[in-house]
Amino acid sequence: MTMARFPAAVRWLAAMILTQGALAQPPAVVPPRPLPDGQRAALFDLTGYWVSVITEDWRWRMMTANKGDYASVPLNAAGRKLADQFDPALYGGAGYHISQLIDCRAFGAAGLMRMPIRVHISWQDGNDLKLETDRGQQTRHLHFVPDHPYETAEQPVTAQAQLAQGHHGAASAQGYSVAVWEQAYRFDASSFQRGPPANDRGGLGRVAVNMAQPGGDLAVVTGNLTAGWLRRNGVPYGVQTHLVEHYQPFEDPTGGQWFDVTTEVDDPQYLNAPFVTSSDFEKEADGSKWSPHPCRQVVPE
Amino acid sequence: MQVHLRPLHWAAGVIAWLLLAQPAVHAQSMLDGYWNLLLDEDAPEYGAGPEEGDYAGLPVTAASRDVAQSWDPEQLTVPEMQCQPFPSTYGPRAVTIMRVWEDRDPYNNQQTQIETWIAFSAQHRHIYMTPQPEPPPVTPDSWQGYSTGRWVGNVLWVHTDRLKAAFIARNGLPLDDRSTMDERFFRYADVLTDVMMISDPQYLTRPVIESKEYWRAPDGIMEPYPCVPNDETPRPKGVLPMHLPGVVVHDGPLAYGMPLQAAQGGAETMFPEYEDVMQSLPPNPAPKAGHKR
Repeated sequence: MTMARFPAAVRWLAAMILTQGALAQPPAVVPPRPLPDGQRAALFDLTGYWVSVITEDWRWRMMTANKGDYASVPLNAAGRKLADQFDPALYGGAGYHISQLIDCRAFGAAGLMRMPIRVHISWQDGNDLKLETDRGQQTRHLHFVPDHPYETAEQPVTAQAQLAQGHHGAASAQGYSVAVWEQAYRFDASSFQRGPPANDRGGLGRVAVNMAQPGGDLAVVTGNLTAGWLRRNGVPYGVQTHLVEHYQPFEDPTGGQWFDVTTEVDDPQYLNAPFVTSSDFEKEADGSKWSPHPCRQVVPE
Repeated sequence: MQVHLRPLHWAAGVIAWLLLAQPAVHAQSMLDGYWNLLLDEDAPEYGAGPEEGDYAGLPVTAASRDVAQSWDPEQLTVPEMQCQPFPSTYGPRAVTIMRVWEDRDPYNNQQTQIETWIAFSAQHRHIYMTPQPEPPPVTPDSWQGYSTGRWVGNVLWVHTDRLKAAFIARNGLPLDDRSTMDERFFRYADVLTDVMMISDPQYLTRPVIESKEYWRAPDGIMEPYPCVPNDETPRPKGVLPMHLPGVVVHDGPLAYGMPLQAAQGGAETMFPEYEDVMQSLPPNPAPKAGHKR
């Protein structure tokens, strides 16, 4: 029997399948390369000036809401009791709703991104993404773990949570934040049902492991926090709080750049359930609208 | 050498193409399932609706305010309007559950549609995944509109138009039938976020951006939504409750200490610097008899 007995297209098909099989062989063992730091591993660029656009929860974000107004927050009894101790006299008296005498506890990490602020994001070093705010004048440091800049979006950020809750000196308003780039999907066994990537080695179920896909987000877990406020009218969170954030960039229909930060506050002390919000920031060309406003330590800690 | 392909050759080639040229499908299954709406933002929208006269943070036009000023919540009791569904621009603002599923072409496994069903008012959306033909030119406007979608990495981009005239808040703020909506859906573990950007050349000076969260419900239950109009409030047939513009002054926002000028909304109220502007606004007037709160 010779190959000539088969139609040309069948011979071509056989050759393609055989070639595909050959390409699907495990790659030769190569020495592991050091992973890039957080900056060089970045899935997208978050640096620059951004402004929070306040179209939701306006009277809880742009103003100080009425004392005792904790609508939407899953406060427990202890949390409500503490929130009811808010004293408007300390924050502007009769005009406290629009007073700019705002307690610094409202700018703690768990409430910060919900406040009406501009943020400036820059790299302090290759593994430290710095986030500064104009109002409240806060600085956060989002620490990447050396040699571990990536995680898959399907995995919980448990390891990062443990790192954030670890010993990092005295607790603070901004706590200690651990950051990781979450790649959208990696084609491994768990993504088998999603099908193989185009033009890649391997067939169904034999796709290349650890192949990054486009997209992704920045996950940040924060712990080691001092007590603070979820809202500027004294709605509290406690020292056991840990915060999980996901930063997702996107474009609007005109090509304008935005990021959305989805914030999950887990506080076993004052919340009955996680408190989940999302806030949207629009990119600005420069820092010309940067307007520092200090917060006030009205009540001594 | 000239090659002549017979039908068998063509068939073999097609099979080979199907085997070897599988399209990338990215994250296309990540939204499937049941999702409970989270109620941790904009509490009034999930209850009785925002206060009449409270438009703060919304980039509304003067025409929009005029329409809202003439709106009367009694309209919701008119039988013809009792079962009116929420438009897709407002759909997630309900204490409800959403189901998401996908449709695939059985031959090439391409995702052809993503469908969503929100239990409250039985809101059923079809998101036609590109490439799809444009809708016929006579496609009527509908509450859910005509939606097309595409994946950009792990983010689902959706554009919706052909919407019926509706509302952007349940206090009378209108949306024109030329309004459009662009959405970005993304998911982290058990949390799904829908960023909604709503544009309206008639009633908005710039797009409104809102983002809604859902929590995965592994054991979700989709209840039916029967709606039967009743005569809740006796009134002569054909009467539509409304106010003449300027007759009623809504001062409900006073209860929150909100400057009435801020409550009028406008794009400037969307940005942090409006905190500074509020310091110099005239004081609120004392409520007068006849004002609606």
